[in-house]
This record gives sequence, C-alpha cells and structure tokens, in this order.
Amino acid sequence: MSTGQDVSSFFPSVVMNIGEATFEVKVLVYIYLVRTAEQKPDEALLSINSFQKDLAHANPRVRALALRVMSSIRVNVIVPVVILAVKKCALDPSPYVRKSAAHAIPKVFRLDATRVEELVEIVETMLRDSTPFVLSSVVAAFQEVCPDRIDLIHRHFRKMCRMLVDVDEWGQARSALRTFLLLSYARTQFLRPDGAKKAAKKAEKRAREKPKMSALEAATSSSAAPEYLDDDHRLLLKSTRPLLQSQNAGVVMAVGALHFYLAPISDIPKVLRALVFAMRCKPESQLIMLKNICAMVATQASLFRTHFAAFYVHPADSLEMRALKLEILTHVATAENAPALLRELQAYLRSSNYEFVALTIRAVGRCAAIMPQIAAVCVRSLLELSLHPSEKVAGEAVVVIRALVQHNPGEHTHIVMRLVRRLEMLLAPAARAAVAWLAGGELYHRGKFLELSLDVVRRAIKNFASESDLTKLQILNSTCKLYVKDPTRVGPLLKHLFDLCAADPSVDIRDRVRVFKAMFAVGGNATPLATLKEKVVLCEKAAPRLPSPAAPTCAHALGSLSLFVEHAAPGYRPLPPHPLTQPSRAVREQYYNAANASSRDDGRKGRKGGFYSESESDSGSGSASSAGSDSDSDSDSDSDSDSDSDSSSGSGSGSSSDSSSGGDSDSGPSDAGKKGKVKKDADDSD
Amino acid sequence: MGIGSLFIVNNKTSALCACKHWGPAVAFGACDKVLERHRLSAKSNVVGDVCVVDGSQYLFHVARGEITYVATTERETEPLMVIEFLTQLHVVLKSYFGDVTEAVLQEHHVTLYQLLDEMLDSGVPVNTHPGGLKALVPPPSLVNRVSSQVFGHQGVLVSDQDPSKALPLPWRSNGIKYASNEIYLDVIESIDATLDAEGRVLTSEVHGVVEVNCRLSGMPDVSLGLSNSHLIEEYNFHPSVRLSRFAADRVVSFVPADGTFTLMTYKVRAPDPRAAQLPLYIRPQATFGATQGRVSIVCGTKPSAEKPVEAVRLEVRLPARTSFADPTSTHGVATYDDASHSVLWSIETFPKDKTPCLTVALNMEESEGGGGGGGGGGSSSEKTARARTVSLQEIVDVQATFAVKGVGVSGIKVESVQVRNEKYTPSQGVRYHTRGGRVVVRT
Repeated sequence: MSTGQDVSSFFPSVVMNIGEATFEVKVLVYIYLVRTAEQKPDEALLSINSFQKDLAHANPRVRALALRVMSSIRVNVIVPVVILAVKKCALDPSPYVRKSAAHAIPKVFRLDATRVEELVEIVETMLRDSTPFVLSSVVAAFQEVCPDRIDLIHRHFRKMCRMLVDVDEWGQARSALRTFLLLSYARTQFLRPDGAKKAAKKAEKRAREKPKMSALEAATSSSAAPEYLDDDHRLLLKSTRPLLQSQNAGVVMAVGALHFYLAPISDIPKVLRALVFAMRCKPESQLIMLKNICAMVATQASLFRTHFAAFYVHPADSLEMRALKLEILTHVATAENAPALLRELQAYLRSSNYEFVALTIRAVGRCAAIMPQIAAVCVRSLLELSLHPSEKVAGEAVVVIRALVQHNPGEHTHIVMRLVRRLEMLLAPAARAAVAWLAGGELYHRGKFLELSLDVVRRAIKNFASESDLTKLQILNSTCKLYVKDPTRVGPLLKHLFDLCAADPSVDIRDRVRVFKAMFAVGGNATPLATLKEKVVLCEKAAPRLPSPAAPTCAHALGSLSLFVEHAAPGYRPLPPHPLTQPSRAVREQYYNAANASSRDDGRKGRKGGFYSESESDSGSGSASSAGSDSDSDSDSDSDSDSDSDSSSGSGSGSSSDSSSGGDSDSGPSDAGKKGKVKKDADDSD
Repeated sequence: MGIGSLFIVNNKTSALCACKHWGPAVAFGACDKVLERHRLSAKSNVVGDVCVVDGSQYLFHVARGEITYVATTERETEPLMVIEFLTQLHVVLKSYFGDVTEAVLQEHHVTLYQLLDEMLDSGVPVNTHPGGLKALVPPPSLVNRVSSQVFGHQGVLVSDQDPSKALPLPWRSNGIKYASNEIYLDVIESIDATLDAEGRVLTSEVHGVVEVNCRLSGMPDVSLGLSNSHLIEEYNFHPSVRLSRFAADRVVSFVPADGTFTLMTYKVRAPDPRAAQLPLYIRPQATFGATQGRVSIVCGTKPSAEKPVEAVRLEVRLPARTSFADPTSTHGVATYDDASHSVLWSIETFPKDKTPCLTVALNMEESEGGGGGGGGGGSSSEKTARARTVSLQEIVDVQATFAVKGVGVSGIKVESVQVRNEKYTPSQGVRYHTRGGRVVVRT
C-alpha cells in the first residue's frame, strides 16, 4: 500500500478484521480503510457499524480514532452519520476526542459543502471550549468552514488572546492559523494603529521613493504622540508578543505579520529583530522569510536599516535568494550605509555567477539612482564591466550606465565618450543599442562629441547587416538626430543608411525608414512632415526608471502562500480593510457582562481568575489542561498582567469582580479591570 | 488548508518510501519536479530551495540525507508552517529510528504510518514532539523485535492508553523511569563572519544553541542559571521554557522533554562587530589568466586561541570556467570536485611548527565570449573584445568550518543546573563548543 499499488482487492478480507478487539489490529485496518474506501464505497459502508460501536467505547483513544477514521473516509453517503458523530463527540468529556471532532469538521466540509450550516453550528458550540489543546483545532475548522462569521468570535476574543501563549507546543503552529484569524478579526474590528500609517500606505501606492520616505517620517513622528488603541487591540498585541520567541519560524512569521499590520510603528523594530533572527536559525525557511521581508521592506524601508548586514549574500544562497537579498539591500540603502553597501556590491560584481552579476548591476544602478552622490563611483565600476566576458553582464552594465547618464547627463561626459569609443568591444545587442542611443548626442552638444558620434555611427553602419534589430533601429534614430544637427555632413551617410534599411528583412525597420524618409528628405523633395522632424526625434524623453528584476509588486497578505508564489492560490482570502470608524466595543462587552451575571462563562472568568483554575473545574478538560497549567501557568501569567495579579491573590479578586459586576452590569468589566489594575499595582509595590 | 499529501522519497534512487493522502490522492509523478530541482541545487551546491509549483499543486520539499520529504497542497496555506512541519517530521523520525534511510523506513513502515496518523489530522499538524508521540506510538525496541521474531507479529505498535492521562504535557509523558538520572547540556556557539582579502571583518555574528540530553525520571522541573546572560540579544526557546521567567530574571526554567532536544537558540550581542572572533586566520590569494590560474591559501591558528582548532574544512569555490584544478597542500587532504568547481581542503589538527598552505593550479576555459548570439561587429571586433575581457579579477570564496572543543566564544556560561520536583540528584554536565558557522573569506 505504501508504494502506491492498488490494494483495494483485499478490501473485504481486511475490513472483516475491524471487529477485532485488539487495538493494534484495529489501527492497521483503519489505515487501510482510509486509503482504499474511495475505491470501494459500498463495501466501506459495511464498516460504519463497527465505528458506531467504537464511538461509544470507554477508552477516549478508541473514540477519537474511530471518529478520525470515519471522517477521513471520503464517501459522500456517510456524511450525515459523520455529522451526527461529530456533534456527539464535540461534547465528549475527553479533550482528545473533542480535538478529533474539531478536525473532522473541515474534512466533512470538504466532502460536502452543502452541510455548512450544521457545521457552523458545531463550530459555534465548540468555540466555547476552554482547553487550548482543543480550541486550536476548532479555530482551524472555523477558518476553513466559515471564515466570514466574525460575529461568532466576539464573545471568545479575549479568551483566545489569553490562551495564545498557552496553546500547546506544536499546536502553536496552529496559532499561526489562529493569528491569521485574529488578524482578520482585528482588521475588521479595530482602527488602524496610527492614522499616519494610512497616509503612508496611500503614499506608497501613489509614488515610489520620495513621497514614501516623507510619509514614513510622518508616521514615525506621529507614533511618538500618545496614540489611541482599543483595549482589546492592545490585549491582542500583548498576548501575541511572546510568541515571537517561538522556535517555530511559521509562528514567528505569522505573529510578525500580525504586528506588522496592527501594531503601532514604534513596536515594529522588535518584530523585525525576531524575524531576522528566525531567518538565520532556520536555513529552510530563509527563502520564504526573505520574500516576506522583501514585501515589508517595500513599504517600510527605514525599519530594516539596522539589520543591513543580515542581508549580505552568502555563496551558498540560491539565485532566487540572492535576487531577494539585493532587492532588500537596495531598499534599505541610505547615505550612511552607502559606502559599505557599495563595497559589498563590488565584491558581488566579481562573482563568477554571471546571472548574479547582472542582478547586482541592476542593484548598483538602483542605488546610484536613489543616491546621486555615489553615482560617479558606480558608473566608473560599471564602465569596467562593460567589457565583462559575459554578454549579458556587459549588456546590463551599459544599459544601466545609459540610464544613470540620462538621469544626470552633465556629470558623466567623459565616461560616455569612453563608452562610445568602445562600441566594437560590446557584443550584447542591448549594449550596442544603448551606445548607439548615446551617440545620438541628445544629451551633449559640444563639438568634440559630435565628431565622436559621427565616427561611431559611421563605424556602426559599416557592420549594419550583422546588427540585431534593436541596434539597427537605434542606429537609424541616432543618425537622424545627428542629421538634424549637421545636415551637410550626415546627409550622405543617412542616405546610405536609408537604402540599407529599406532592404532590411525586418518589417519594423522598413516601416520606420519609410516614415523617416518622408521626414528627412535626403536628396528628395521635402514633404510636409519634414517640419516635424525635430519634434519627433529630439523630443523630451523621460529618464528611464530602473525597475528591480525581482520586484515583488505582490499585494497578498504577509506569510501567505500567495505572497510566496506571487499569485493568488486557490482559497486565498485577502485581508479585510481596516474600518474607518471604530466599530462598537459592545459586541465583545455584552457577552462578558452577561456571562458575569451568571458567573459561568469561560472568557469572563479567564479574564479574572486565570483560566487554568477555571479549566480544571471544567468537567470536560480532564488532566491534560490541568497538568499543562503546571508548566505554563507562569509563562502565561507574566505575559498577561491581569492574571499575574490573580496568581498571587487567587480567587479573591475573581469574586470581588463578580460582585461588582453583579451590582452594575454596565460598568462591570471596566470596573473589574480597574480593580485588577489597582491590585496589580499593590502587588508590584510589595 | 493544510497538507494534502505527503511523500517520503529517496532522492538518490527516486524510490517512494511512503506516502499518505489527506485529500484526494496525488500521483507520485508530482514529485519528479522536486527531485529534479533537488539534483540541480545539489549540483550547484546551494541550499534554500523549498517550493515548486506544478500545475495546481504546490510542492514543498525538505531534503535530509538521502531522504526528501515532499508535502503537497492545492490551497492557500502558510508555507512556513509546512516547511516547519517537514523539518520536525525528520526530527521525530530520527528520534524513533536513528538514521533515517530508505531501508530503515521500509523496516519500520508500520510505525511510520502510525506516527503520521498521530502527527497530522486532516493535513494539519497535531503533535510533533518526539517525547509526546512516544507515549502514543511506542518506538521500535529490542523487545518488540524479539517478540515479532518469536510470535510472528510486531509486538506493541500502538498504546491504547488514554492520551490525556498518558500525556499531561505534549512533550513529556507520564511514568518515565531511568535507573540513573542524568542531564547533559551542550552549548554550541557558531561564528559567522565575512572577511575580505586583507583580513578585514565585513560582518561578524555569533549564534549559540543549547542542546539538552535529558534522561530524568518522573516530572522534573529544571532551571538553568546563565552567566553573562546580558550578552544574549535575541533568543528563542523550546515550547517547554517559561518565557516570562527568562524575561524577568534570566533563568531558563522548564519541564524537559525526554531525550535530546534543542532548548534554546540565541544570538550574542556583539561588543564590536568589526572585531574578528575567529580563532583562525585564512589568507587566500588568487590570480587568473586567460587559460591558467593559481590560488594559494595560508591557514593557521591565531596565537590568541586557547584551545586547539580542529576539523578545519575549507571549501574553495573556483570560477565556473575552471576546467581542471590540481590542489597540493603541505598539510591535510585536498580534493577537487569537478561538479561544483570547488576544492575541499580538510585539516584535522594543525601541526605545531609550520603553517599549512594550499596551492591550486588551475586550467581554465576561455571565457564565454559573444560567439554567435546577437552578432557583434564582425570577427575582428569579437577577437578584440575577448582579448580585453580576461583582465577581470574573478572572486574566489573560501568557506570555512572548524571546531574548537571545550570553550565558548561569547563567554555565556551555564552557571547552575537545578532539578526540582523530584527527589533524586541527577548527574549533570555542561560542554562548550565553538564552531565555524558561515565563515566566508573573499579574495
């Protein structure tokens, strides 16, 4: 079976053994059953009876297993039976069984999506569960079955926040899922952390570099001012922060994304430190981390400045990673770190991996475009590279030089002249085209340059037939430009060129030359178009932008698969936008108050008494949660100041808050909260 | 959501060791692309490729030795979660079976399937702590093997205990008993550094890992006191560690998992990032001509190093146009790997009186010119172009790894190990190691 062979022919004889009393045999039969049931749906139905029997078994392990296997059988007919079983197990006293029930929900959903209402109902009941072990699975089910039903979360939100730290071990990876849930919840329920961030986001959409910078500065300055955050919002951030210390990179990433979207800017550096650290610790996660960091950097470049050196390229990095690292480096470049960056990039330029060198050249160009003060150095080192053995590298170098020169023509005159003289040594079509463009002399008008250009064009025309189309077009353009400046000397040359072009195999070139022939009447009658010639070839040209080769213009949520593969994967749900006005807090408060009055709601008690004591009293939670609290209680309590106060004072404050809220149900929670705070202060002074 | 199918594949022979589907069955052919990718990256000697998109399938893969773990998904999932699961899966299998190879997996494939069953439900990881899983799926032991020989069945494969009783903590089960109780710690610090040809430090970082080998009975509560803990800048912990306790008084307090596990990982706050903390010096020199080249490297311990530096391995990455290299060394063993264009030089121990030196004579192909392609300006200009290009100085990266036993580079030490909650006094010990992490020297 494990080798993928078809073993369904043994089905009846294997499944016969299902009634076997020994647990081990049963487990093996189950594995077989799950694998083959799809091929033999009718026979699989015969086994349902024994599942029903097992669901009533005294041992929770057997019950859980029966449910797990039953829900894994991908046969549509049994869906109603499974739903019944899930409903029953959702209220099982053993958390282990309840967890299986939670896992069964998405499985049923995938099999038969029409039953969604019944499933949502089960999810709703299960969300009340207060064992972290179970809740993490319920949340996963919620995510899959009814991610839009935010209203179900209101009453459990605070409980969930508190439990986050406590979610059992690898189940913390699920907290990744969970934080995604909390993330989308928070996005719909809380305002943006600071108003200026909105401006930053808008600015980022509008333009590239400069406006973004200023918007960022505005954002940082505004975050210095006291900012308003909803209490629950603050609670969410506070309770997720310890998770940044997780060994699981997935958790760190999810929490990082949560904070990136929701925390005020002043908090973010801490998050970034954790991300960069996690990246170092887990080599496998590097690529994904880099991609996410890259997306973060694109919006908030200034924040990563301190981690500059973490993104230096290592020889063992794959090309994809190198591209991302370069992208990040160019984003975080500033005047201060420019020298270090340039030295680093120059080392990369000498790499024997030519594709990487080409990428680096782009990066150098982008840095130089951002910081004109280093442009001269950059152009000089690129000029050397225009003779690089690799055609691609040399081409890239010349193209980047051209772009830089066009940004600031005055500074690089002699570089251009040297480059133009090198035409013969350049092989890449793009490079030759770029040189031909420069020879057009649009940027320079001095007499010496004109001579040089003429010479270049003359030489280029000599080998015209062997040029690539791109270069041919550019030579044609440049010659026309020169003709405008000096018709008498260029005239014969142009006439010759027109003849060459008219006989060219390429349609584009023949087409172009027909237009130009009408405009530049060489030895013929001038047409009305001739008056336009200067406007056409010597019009103002926008300086070229140097797009990043690895530009992640991807707007998908951080940490998602969609961001990583750069397209929306099936099932991807974009983040909901922040609301513009604060949604009512009452949606959460009401439950807490109501629960207080009856003094039996999990979340309420969790808030005051620490949910451990509560979960112990919970009939269902059994020893898993109580034992879990041995080890986790202090880790949780310190991260959460409220329960901290209670771990020392025990049930006293719990009862006091109950009484206070009983008296005045409206101000109950806030009152109680204050009391808790006072109490805490008292503890601190001790 | 979650993992759709999981394949465990031998990446050398492309043989399937195990597969399990949580959703519709995915054909094994989906893994071909992964294996191909794996071979490519092994050839070019890079790491970090983790995801392949093949039609509607997203395939995540992690390779460990000859085994590649492949997880597929069709829907949006957090990629890091999948990767983390695969790495953790390997950790679990390793703690169950020792070395994970195809043969071993075939032998224990019943246990393997049990494990997968327990670790994932509906494609979502449930429990991946080896310690916790052992309470649910007993590891293959000698007794099992004997009974399978004698009675013809495989002994106890699955325990049918109530998991909530047997497993109070996800990483530690009840009723662990050892005749002699011991806890050993390994503090391993690794140095990352990038140096240029003159020996200047471009970047330098020190990362540390604390590995615990714990063989304690019952439910002990362990706390470690650290000295110089102010040097710890960033850290992450095993889930068992109480974070708040560490944040408050820098005591690492935890109920340990059974067996070996990574307790914490930390980054050392560098007093001066420009100061090299390497116990070695490495001086490479390289010259390249049109068809020949020469690389020489001198490597030795710095006089300030207290302990001997051992197991030094230098990997010299030669330019891609190298056709043949002939390494000779005055000490240690040097070999040339044709596939990755690199020379591996290993020195077990340094000689007392002289400094080891490696010389590599290279034959190089002429660099790829513009030949054909876009058609340069005739053959004469192509020739001039070629003549001009070779003057470029290509870079040679030297990556170094080494080990120094008995000393930690940062000065962070475990001051005390206290075991509470149990009556016995365990035997305990702490060892320190320093290793070369990602040391790169450029010419």
